[in-house]
This record gives sequence, C-alpha cells and structure tokens, in this order.
Amino acid sequence: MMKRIKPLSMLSPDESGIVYRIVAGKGLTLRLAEMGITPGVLVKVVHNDSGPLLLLVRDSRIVLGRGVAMKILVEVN
Amino acid sequence: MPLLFNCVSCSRCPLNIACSTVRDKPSVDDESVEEYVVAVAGNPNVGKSTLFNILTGGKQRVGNWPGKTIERKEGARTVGNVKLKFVDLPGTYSLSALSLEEVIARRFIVEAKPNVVINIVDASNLERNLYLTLQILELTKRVVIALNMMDLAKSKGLKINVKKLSQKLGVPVIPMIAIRGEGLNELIDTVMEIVKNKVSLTAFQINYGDKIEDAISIIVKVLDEHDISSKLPYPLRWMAVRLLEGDREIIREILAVDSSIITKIEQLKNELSEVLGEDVDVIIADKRYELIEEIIGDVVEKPSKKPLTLTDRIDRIVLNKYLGLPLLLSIFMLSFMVIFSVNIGFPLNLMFPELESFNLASLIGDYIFGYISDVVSSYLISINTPEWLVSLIVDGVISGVGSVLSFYPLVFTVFILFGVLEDSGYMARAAFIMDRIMRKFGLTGRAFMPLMLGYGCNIPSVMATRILPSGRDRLLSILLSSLIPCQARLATFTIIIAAIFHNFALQIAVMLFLYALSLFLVFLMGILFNKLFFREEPSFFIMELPPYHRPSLKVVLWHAEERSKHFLIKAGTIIFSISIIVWFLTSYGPSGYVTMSEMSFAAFLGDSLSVIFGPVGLNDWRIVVALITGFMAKEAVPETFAIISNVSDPIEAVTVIGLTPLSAFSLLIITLLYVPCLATVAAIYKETRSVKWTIFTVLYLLSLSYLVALIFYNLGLILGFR
Repeated sequence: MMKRIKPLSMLSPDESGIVYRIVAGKGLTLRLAEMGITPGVLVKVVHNDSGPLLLLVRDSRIVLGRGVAMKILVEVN
Repeated sequence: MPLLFNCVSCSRCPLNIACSTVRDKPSVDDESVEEYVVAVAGNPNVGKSTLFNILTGGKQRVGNWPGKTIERKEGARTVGNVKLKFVDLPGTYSLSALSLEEVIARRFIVEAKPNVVINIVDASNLERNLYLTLQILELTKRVVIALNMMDLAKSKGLKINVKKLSQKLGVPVIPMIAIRGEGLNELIDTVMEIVKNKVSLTAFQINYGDKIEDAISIIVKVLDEHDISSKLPYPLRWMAVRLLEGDREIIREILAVDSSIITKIEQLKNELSEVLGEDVDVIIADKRYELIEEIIGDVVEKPSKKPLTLTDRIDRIVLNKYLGLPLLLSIFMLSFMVIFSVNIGFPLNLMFPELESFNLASLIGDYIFGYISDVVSSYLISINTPEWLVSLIVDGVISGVGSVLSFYPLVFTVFILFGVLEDSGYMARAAFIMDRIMRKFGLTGRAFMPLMLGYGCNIPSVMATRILPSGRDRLLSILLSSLIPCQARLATFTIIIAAIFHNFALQIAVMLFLYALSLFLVFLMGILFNKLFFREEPSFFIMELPPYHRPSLKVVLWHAEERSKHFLIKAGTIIFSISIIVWFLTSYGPSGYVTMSEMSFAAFLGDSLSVIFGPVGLNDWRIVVALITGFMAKEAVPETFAIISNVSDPIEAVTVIGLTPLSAFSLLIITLLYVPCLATVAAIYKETRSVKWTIFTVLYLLSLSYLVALIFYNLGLILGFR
C-alpha cells in the first residue's frame, strides 16, 4: 500500500497515522512531546470537524487546535 | 518574616527558597521534633490535590510562590516525633521549563532539595505520566511513586506488575486509590523509610545512545573544568542533557556565571545534529518515550482488544458535531435554573408567591442577621450605649457584613455545581466545544471555565485565568470577565425587577435580556479588544481530556470552599470598613449626627453628581449614592436604598424611590455593567500587576455602562416608554 504524508488536520475521524515530523518551533515541539506527541508515535483522530481536533495518543485524549494540528505531519497508509 | 525587598529573580534565588522553608520551621519548639520536606509532583488530572488533601488532613496553607501568581499549597502531618511538611508543586506534564509552573516545580526539587518527592501518576495512563517521572528521576533518586487510580486501570483491563515497575525505576511504587484513601498508610510508611534512609534507592540513568552519551560526557567534562557545580545547584549530567535539549533557562543561568561555555556546547550540538541527521532535542525526547515503551511492555499487561470505554461512549454524544453545542447549552441552562431557584427563589418565587420567603439569601440575610441585629441592639441600648454608636454597630457593621455573608451560600452553590461539572470531566469537554466560538473573539476554549466562574463571583473568575498559557489570553479574559453578572448583581436585579415590574412574563423577559446583553457585550468587547490591543493569535490550544468519572463530593467541596473563601475575606475586611464609611456618610451631615438622610453628606455628594445621571434617567441623589456604595459591593445597591429610605425591606425601598419602569431599566443596565466591585478590582490588580490595565478596566466599564444605558434609555423615550 502507498504511504502518504499529510498534515494531521487533514485526517478524517477514526483515521490513524504515525507522526512523521513536527514542523514547529522549539517551544511547541517540546509542549507536544510532554503530551506524548513525538515522531514515530501512533495517533488516532477521534473528532475532526471545523473546530479543534481530538486525538487518541498513548492512551490519552488530547485536544489540539487546528493551527497546531497543521504543523504535525503524519504518515498514513 | 516579610521579605525586605523583592527583586526580579526572587523566585529563582536559592536564598529566598531556603528562607521560606526555614522561616516556617518551629524554631523554639520541641528540639526533638525532626522536620522533613516532602514535595508532591504530578501531571494535572491525576488526583494530585486529592492526594495532597488526604496527606495533610485537609489542613493547608495557601500562598503564592514568591513573586508569582501561582498558588503554593503547604500542609503538614506528624508521624511519631517526625513532622512531614508537604509542599504541593504545580501540576505539570514535564520539567522542561516551558511554563512558569514547570520552572517552579523544577527549581523547588533542585534548590530546596526536598527530602522526598512523591510523584503521583495515573495508573490507567502510565505511558504519558512516566515522562514526568523520568525527568524527576534524572534530578533526584529520593522519589516514591504513588500509582493512583488503580481502580480505573483495572476497569480498563490493565494488569500492572508493581514490583517490576519499582525495580525498573529504582524507587518504591505504591498502588493507590487516593479518593478512597487506599494506599495512604503504605505511602506514608515508605516516605518515612526514605526519610530515615532505610530503603535503598538506585540513581536512575537513561541511556541516550552512544553518540549522544559521548556528547554528554564531553559537556560534563567542560562543565566540570569550569567548576560549574559550585556555582549552580543542578547535577552535571542533568545540565548536560538539558543543554543538548536547548533548555533556555539553563543556558541563561550558565551564561550568567560563565559565558565561554555556551559557544563550545552550541558547536558540539550542531555537529551532533549533523551526524544524527535530526535535531538532538527531538531524539532525546524520543529516547525517553522509547524507554517508557520498553518499561511498559515489561510491566503492563494490556487486554488484546481495547474495550470501548464509558468515556468513549459518552464522548460520542457529548462531542457530537450536532448534539454537542445544544447539549452544552442545556446543561448550563439547567445549572443556572438550579442556582437561581436555590439562591434567590427566582423564578419559582414569582410563579408561586407563597414560596417567596424560601430562599437562601433572604433566609440568612433577614433571619440570622436580623436576629443578631435585634439581640445586639437591645443589649447595647440596655447598657446605655449612645444612639450613634448603636447605629454604627447595628446599621453599619452588622448589616453591612451580614449582607455580604448572606451571599456566601449563593456563591458557594455556584461553585458546587461548576465543581461537579469540572470534576466529572465535562468542563474540559465544554472547553473543546466552545473553542470554535471563543476563537472568534480571540480566546481559546480554555478561557471558558474562568469566564463561567464569573457567574458565581468575579474574583475567582479573575484568579482562574491563571490556568491560561499566555499573558495575552489571561489579560483578555480578565478584561471580559467583569461583564459577567455575579450572584450579587443577580440578587440586585431580582429586587429591582420585583419592585418595578409586576407582570411575570415581563419580569422574566427583563432578566433574560440582562443576561443576553452581557453575553453580547462579551463578544463585542472581545472582538474590539482583540483588534485594538492583541494583534497576535491566541496561544496554541493543547489540552488533555480527562476520562469521565463520578464527581467526588469531597473534591467538589474543597474546590467550592477554596474558590468562595475570597468572598468571606472580602466580607471581613473591605466590606467592614466600607460599611462604616457608608454609615458615616448617610448618618452625618454638615450639622452633625442626622436621622434624616436628606441632610447627610451622602445626600450632598449624590446631589452634586446626579446631574451626570440625568441623561440616563437617574437624576436622583439616592441612586447616585447607591451606585457609589455598589462599587464597594454590588449587593449594596438595594441595601443602600433601604438604609436611605429607612425601610427594612429592599423591595419596598426600591418602590419608595419611585423609579419609572424606564429609569429602572436604565439602572439595571448600569448595575450590570459599571465597575466590578472593589474586591474584584483588587483581584485584577493582583493578577495583572499593572496599574494601567486595572485603571483601564474600571474606566472602560464605566463608560460602557453609561453608553449602553444612554442608548437604551433614549431608545425607550423615543418608543414612548416612561
């Protein structure tokens, strides 16, 4: 299957992906790391409509604003 | 002992932290009592405050971390001849010094060197929780892990090998259910063992891989050559790792003592990044999680198929695209209905007049304080106290303080209900749902909770803005929070509405209009301020949604108590002095003690100011005086009418003033919007630490209230209302 890389904000609900890269400044990268979002981690999108996203990461439910989610690139099958 | 001076780096100064630790020691007391400091650290939402409460038996001293507006809680527990002094560190997800909370937690562990650090972790969510644990273990080995929420982990089908986890981490691990007190004794026993050095603790070290480890060794050597360990309190290896991660705090501190090192390290870091093909800091964070995954793989048995948890199921409905917002509105509407009916009887008392006397406010105000006033005044008269003094004590102090105290239960109910919403996990969902709307006026969903608290009392609302991650978000929320009508304003509305409008439907309509107006203005001013002062985007919205659970009465009560206590303090201090001033102004005039308030100083003062209020239909000195006292406390508005017109029932007093419906409407609008009470202004100053913004808030609210009242009053005149 082809692997595609796209911003997390483009994933639809129930879709999963592996975090490929985080294109953000140092502060945000570390903030995401402490919430469990690091390259290589599996994320599952639970909610994604026009507002913030809700993800399942390392057994936690994490809410990300759209702006943040656009800076996270994920690899999707 | 008060601090003699406050310098900018006060909170970082080891002297200061040491002082505040020493200061609290019982210096002359029993010499045989040994005292140890125990820090409690953990992520938010893992039951840290519950644990802290049961550790300290609920008795705690709340203050601020030196020079910061972040709360510092302390409490103690005596075991035999040992006194354990617990310090609650701010809830953080890491010690990376990204936020003030993280800096404080880190500094305390390093500089105050607590004898033990209790790290509370959520057993049902070990993976993310252990990130902080590893960072603590890199700093100190005197750690005990409180593995909380074992029940939740069990219901998720997780099997945790506690003994193995303890071996892996090198420190004791105590399984707990803090809310039920399970595991508390074992935890305290273990803390005592660590304090008495009866337990072997292994220093924990993460292996970051050959290349990074080499770099760490080089940096440690460089730091050692420059004798940094004698200048800074941190362990050398830890500093080396932090330097590779690009920790700004540490870089700044090292620059301050020796500027030559940093360039060397930067060079090393760049070389390393090139060799590794990726940023070193990313790899380091990765390594931590790699290790955590390894530990979890060994220690935790997960069910092969993840069951759909209750939280998932509830979230499907609560966060549903179409159902979410209507559900949120219904939940808050229902809460307000409950609050209103319990507190002021509204709207029940209007529907069933025979119920009117049953509501908390009048129960306490009229009966308890009415009774106290009667007893005290008859006693004072019996011992021949001069008339003016009786009047001062009864009419001034008791009725003033009483009127504030009668609001305590009102505020308390609001915080009980919001506490239930918060503790159950719903408040975080509300933030998620509201984010989209709040973004329109430049805030993130996180500001929802602080603003909601304003419906109880504006002071905790202003204080709760501390949870917001950026100064910009905090300031904007504070500017808007005063537009939210508190319980005191609500009570004032009910009295004026009941006195002036006699049609039930009209009463409800006026009340709804006031609340809708305030919401509309929150939006409008939010958009306006955002355009005027805050060009930048709101801060990044990153938040954890805790799992739902049945709210605990204990936790809800603690929260309500903590949030509403400002109200009591206000009653005891500000209102006490204000009552005396108001009493003086209304009881004395140029001719001395007067029984007719028309001759008082207040009347003269009101008269000279009432010209300004002509255009909004309130050209009456009594109203002006009431508004002035209302600045001290909003609930004083009808109270002042009662004092001035010498009638005991505030509703009757409002009738005596003889307002037309239109000018009453104007008065309601002004009461809704003009300056928050004095205590809130003080809170705004405390939180913003800016005279400029505090004065701005007062002035903008004064002009806004006048302007809005002017618009509606004249609109009413044109439409032929009177």
